[in-house]
Amino acid sequence: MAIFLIAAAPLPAKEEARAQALFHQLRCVVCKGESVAESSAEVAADIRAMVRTRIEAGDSDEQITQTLVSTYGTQVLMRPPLARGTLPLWLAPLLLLAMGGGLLFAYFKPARASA
Amino acid sequence: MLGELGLLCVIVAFACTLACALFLTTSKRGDYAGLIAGCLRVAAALTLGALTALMGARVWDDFSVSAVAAHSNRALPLLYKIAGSWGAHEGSMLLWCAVMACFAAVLSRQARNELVLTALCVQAALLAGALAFVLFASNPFTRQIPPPLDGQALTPLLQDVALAAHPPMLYLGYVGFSVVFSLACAGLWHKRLDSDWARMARPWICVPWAALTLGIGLGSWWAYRVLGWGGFWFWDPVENASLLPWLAGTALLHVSRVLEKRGMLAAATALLAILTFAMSLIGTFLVRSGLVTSVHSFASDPARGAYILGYFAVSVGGALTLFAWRAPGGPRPQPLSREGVMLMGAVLLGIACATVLLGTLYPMLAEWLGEGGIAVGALYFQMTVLPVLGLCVVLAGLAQRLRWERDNFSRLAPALVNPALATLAGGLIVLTLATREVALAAVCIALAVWMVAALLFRPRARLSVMLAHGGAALVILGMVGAGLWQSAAHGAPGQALKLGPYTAIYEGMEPVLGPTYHGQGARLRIEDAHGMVLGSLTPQLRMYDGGEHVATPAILPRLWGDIYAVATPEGVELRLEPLIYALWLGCALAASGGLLALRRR
Amino acid sequence: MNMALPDVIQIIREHVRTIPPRMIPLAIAIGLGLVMALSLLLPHRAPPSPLVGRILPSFMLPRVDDIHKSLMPRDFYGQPALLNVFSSWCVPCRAEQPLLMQLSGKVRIYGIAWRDTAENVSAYLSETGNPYQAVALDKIPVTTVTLGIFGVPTTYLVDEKGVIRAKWDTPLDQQMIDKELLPKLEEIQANAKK
Repeated sequence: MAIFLIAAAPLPAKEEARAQALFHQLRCVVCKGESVAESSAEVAADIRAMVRTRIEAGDSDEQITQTLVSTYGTQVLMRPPLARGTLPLWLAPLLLLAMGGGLLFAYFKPARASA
Repeated sequence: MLGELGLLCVIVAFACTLACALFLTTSKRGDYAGLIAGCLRVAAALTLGALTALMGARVWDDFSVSAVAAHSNRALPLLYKIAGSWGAHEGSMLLWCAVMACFAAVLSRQARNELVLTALCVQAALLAGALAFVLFASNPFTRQIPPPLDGQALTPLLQDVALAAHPPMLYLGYVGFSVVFSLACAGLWHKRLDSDWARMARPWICVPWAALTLGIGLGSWWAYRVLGWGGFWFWDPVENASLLPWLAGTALLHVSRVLEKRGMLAAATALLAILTFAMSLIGTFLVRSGLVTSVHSFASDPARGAYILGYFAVSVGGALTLFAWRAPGGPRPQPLSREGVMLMGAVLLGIACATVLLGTLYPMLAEWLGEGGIAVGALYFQMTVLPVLGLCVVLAGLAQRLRWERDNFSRLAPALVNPALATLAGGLIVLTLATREVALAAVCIALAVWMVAALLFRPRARLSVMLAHGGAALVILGMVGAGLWQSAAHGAPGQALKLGPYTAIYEGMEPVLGPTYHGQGARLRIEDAHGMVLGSLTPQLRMYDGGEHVATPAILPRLWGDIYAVATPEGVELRLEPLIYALWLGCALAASGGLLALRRR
Repeated sequence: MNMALPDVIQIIREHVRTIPPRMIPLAIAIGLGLVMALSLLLPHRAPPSPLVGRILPSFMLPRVDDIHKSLMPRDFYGQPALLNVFSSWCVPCRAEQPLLMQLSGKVRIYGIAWRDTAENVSAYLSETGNPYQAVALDKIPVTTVTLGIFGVPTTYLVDEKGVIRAKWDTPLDQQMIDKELLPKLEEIQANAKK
């Protein structure tokens, strides 16, 4: 069993660190939750190979992620972009905190009034 | 034969619990306390018997039972034949019922108490519903004729020691909270939610909480050792499903303490008791209905989801209707008092819980609203939930220095000086000594120091609280070390790898053979900066009988943390995980603190 | 908004005051229950691929029948075509083969053998039948990211100009062919005639 298929060998240190950073920002699109860094899926290995090849070719991080988004969609990004679709997601915690604060304020008002 | 016995046990247990539940309709149940208690104890014995029957069928390779053929085979080691009983849906539901029944049996020792008797009947109703689910929708004893000669392979990821302990521990938590749910319903019904109620409910809050804490810790430890990514928490939907009841349960733990000590916050306690079990049910729904799939979710089935939803609607809907109708009033605490701050902390925990739930459900919600393809990853939860929990830690420390009932700033301020100094010192030490992620690490460690320091300078701090909060501080430490300060290096096969002061020298490949797998391991010799050999690591790439390839990591523990190696198709990855043991130690410590709280008078 | 914001807040405040607080947990639970019910009732539909509507990304791969010849998208422009990415070791691909054999009568099908070897592909095709006009071999593979492949089998419906009109990330079944593939194919063929 040829377990060590060299699809793309690791790069020199600085480029490899950049590659690793990118791997953590990209989702394994067939795994539901893992990043490409952690996944053992074949598609994840191919994405890692593509990132390494592009880094060697001189592409910027932005260009690499953009290419992936253009074929896989925004689901390939680990961090949901701040777009119209994800606005409620990012606003909700703030809203919850505000509601919690308001709730507590209203709750303690009579207590404070009698203090 | 075992299969039929097991099924018979489940049927009779269902009949017993249904009978007990019917006593909810009459107020004369006091006359039948002995009968009800007896029925519940019989049901407990029967469900345990059914579970034993399933385990027996697996141990004796009875492949005519479909559940055994689907999840076990002749080559499986004995441990996993037994423990794998709850690795799949049907067996795990049987475990759910067994735990619920045993808890009910223990509660039945207090059946003479009117309130407890009502709670027992509620518990019987919950149990009857769960047993009906097993009987009609997830029967583990269905037969398969003709039986196959051998069974299927058990998922390789589940063939691990932690598998034996993780689900039962979690279920002690999830299902254990059903008792305080029943007690709260009884308390609302009889209008007796007071300090005595809280004292009686205390073991039924502390034990499930401790079990859930341990169960989550075990799951995290298992993921670290088995999944080969060096991580310990992935904000996976199934992990989130276990976090929801933990967050609610922690809030319940603290609010019930206020009820016991000061007679206040009865409504909040009842509400949280209901919500914690509701979170358990939502978590169960998420994992079994096929709504979210993840690395370790069960096979999905919408029919099961529908049943769980119905169960949720009746139990939680009924309980919350009771709450809306009969929620107790009561004096409100002062904001600047220990009770007040504990309430604020509970609200924050509720916000964290709601955020986790929203993040987990959001991809589905977004799809309904037309924005499909959105995935919510770890980064979202880290940025939203962790700061809220950080605020909780601040309040936790503050609460230790506050007086009960009423306090004021002029008295409080000097009491905060010592802990504040310790916190500042801790933060400064990190700022000066740390090399990576300095600011964030300093803040987190300062919070951990604050939590412990506020306790230490108190003359009468309770051991249980010290253990629990100390454990939490250790978990924060572990998150900083293994989360922020971990490092990794990659090498092509054959290359020597250098990471920090350590070097991993490739010594060769060796074949690996296990009971259900074969494969290859890459032997690495680990040397430190002086060339001294520390040990060897052999990360493996295993091919399991079922066809799966799994990269099994190898771990070398050191005083400061772990050296971790994993083989990937592209080579070998070496990682340094500082302070990782603080996570597991912290969970264990916190759980023991929870158990110790039982001895509190 | 016709009303000014302070008025709206005032109205919300008045309404909120009339709700007894202890009903709120029940209301939230009912909401959650509805969400859970909807999750069971509404089917999960995968989002449309961003590649739909774009020209098929270029590739150049050796052909299985003659390694000196290569297959490129340009080779099959001019008429609508199906591009089917498969593997000999992929079980659902094998299940899909009979349907592809049927479809090969209606539309030209080209194949890419993904993560495979020439011998295995030849053996596979002689066993299951060959619906393909030509099969290219992507051993390494290089097309995963450029074609947005999640796994095999993946099928693309390409029109005569080379624009991807549909992409299926799951194995084809009779229902998908009848309800989605054939209608789209007819639409393309009708437009091509104009």
